[in-house]
Amino acid sequence: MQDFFRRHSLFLSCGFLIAFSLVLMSASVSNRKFAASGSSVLSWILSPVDALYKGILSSVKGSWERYIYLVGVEDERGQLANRLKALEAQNSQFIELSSENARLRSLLNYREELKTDGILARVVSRDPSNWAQSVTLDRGSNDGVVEGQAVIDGNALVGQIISVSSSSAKVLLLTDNISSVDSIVQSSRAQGIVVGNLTEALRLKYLLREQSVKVGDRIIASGLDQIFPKGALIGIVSKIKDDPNGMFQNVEVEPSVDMSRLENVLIITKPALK
Amino acid sequence: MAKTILLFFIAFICGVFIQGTLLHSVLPSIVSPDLLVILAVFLGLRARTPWGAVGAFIIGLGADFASAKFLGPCAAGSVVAFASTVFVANHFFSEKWFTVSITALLASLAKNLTQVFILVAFTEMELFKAQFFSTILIESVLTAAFAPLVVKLLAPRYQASSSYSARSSLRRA
Repeated sequence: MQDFFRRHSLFLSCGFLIAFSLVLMSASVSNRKFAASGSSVLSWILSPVDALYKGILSSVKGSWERYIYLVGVEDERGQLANRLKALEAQNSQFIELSSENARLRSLLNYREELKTDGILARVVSRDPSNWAQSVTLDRGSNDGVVEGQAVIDGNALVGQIISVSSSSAKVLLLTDNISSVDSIVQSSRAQGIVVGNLTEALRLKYLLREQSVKVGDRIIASGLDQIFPKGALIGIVSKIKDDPNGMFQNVEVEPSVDMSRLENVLIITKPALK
Repeated sequence: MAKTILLFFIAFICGVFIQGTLLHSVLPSIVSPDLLVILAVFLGLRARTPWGAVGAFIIGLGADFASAKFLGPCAAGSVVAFASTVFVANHFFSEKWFTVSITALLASLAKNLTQVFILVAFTEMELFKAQFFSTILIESVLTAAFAPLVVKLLAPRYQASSSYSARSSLRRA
């Protein structure tokens, strides 16, 4: 018996560790804080690295546009080309600044429209795994961020805060399979729950067959969950599959925000009532 | 021992940074290679002991913490990747770049499938989605492509740190 354990110690330890992982999974499903607690430590380690990288990236981009891009251009023609390119680079910077300005302005406008407080934040990194849809923001508990706050981009929902460290916060995106939002179809006021499924599209669940919905309808947050602001846009109905035997309709919703291109977001610090 | 742990800690942080920040800032919405599974494969090739399995478990647990969603799926997947690597390495010579690549492909497939099955068992995730399988396949192929390079980068550093540990224990003895 002892010999058996010694000979198979490696695979037995693997089996034990897998069983232990399942116990951890079971514990973290029933208590979400379990996973979030360790995450803040890792975020604390990684956030300076991420911030440093973002800083280096933006300065390298700036240098590239201003100097390196112009190296190698010759004489007068070259000088003119230099000037043109410098202006182009400046123009692209202006465009970038103006689009950033527009984004931030829309976030601020929305904050005023909601009559609530919000914190502007920048996305610094994404989840390393393909089986979770979350992003890390550069604002944390020092800035007043707490778990459960809603995150929006423009007037569209992005997700909610699931873990916070002193200088960063993790947002669970709407597209994640454990994310759900109580929602309504704007035109018919039919109620359902929007859930993510790790793909680019969302699903509107529990919408009864007799309730009216059509492709192109806007889906908005109902505000009943006390997390997401009422009226915030979630997405547009993109597909309706008819299931003659089912009780509910099978509705696919295209999110209004491209989750892969998030840059600046607004964290809603108080649940707003419109 | 401490040097080896430090090496893997740095490799883990680099892996999370490259996968989570670097690749997404250059190419958003890309399926990235799983650098953390390559660390598990490396342990399976070079540290075929229960401690190697614990190392793979900790790497996976770190990835779970990075997600802040659930604890367990990545950890179990990482241990499965380690075990499948050990199984392959016990039966075939797996030191050449091509065999390392194939081993990493199998390990990554095993890890991803384990993760999906756990998520399906514990949450309301739908299993049969074509996009999941294409994600698994693309991620595994990319992981297999990067594995020989990462293993080659890690091998001399790991050897140096483990021989340092061996020398230290000999000196103590």
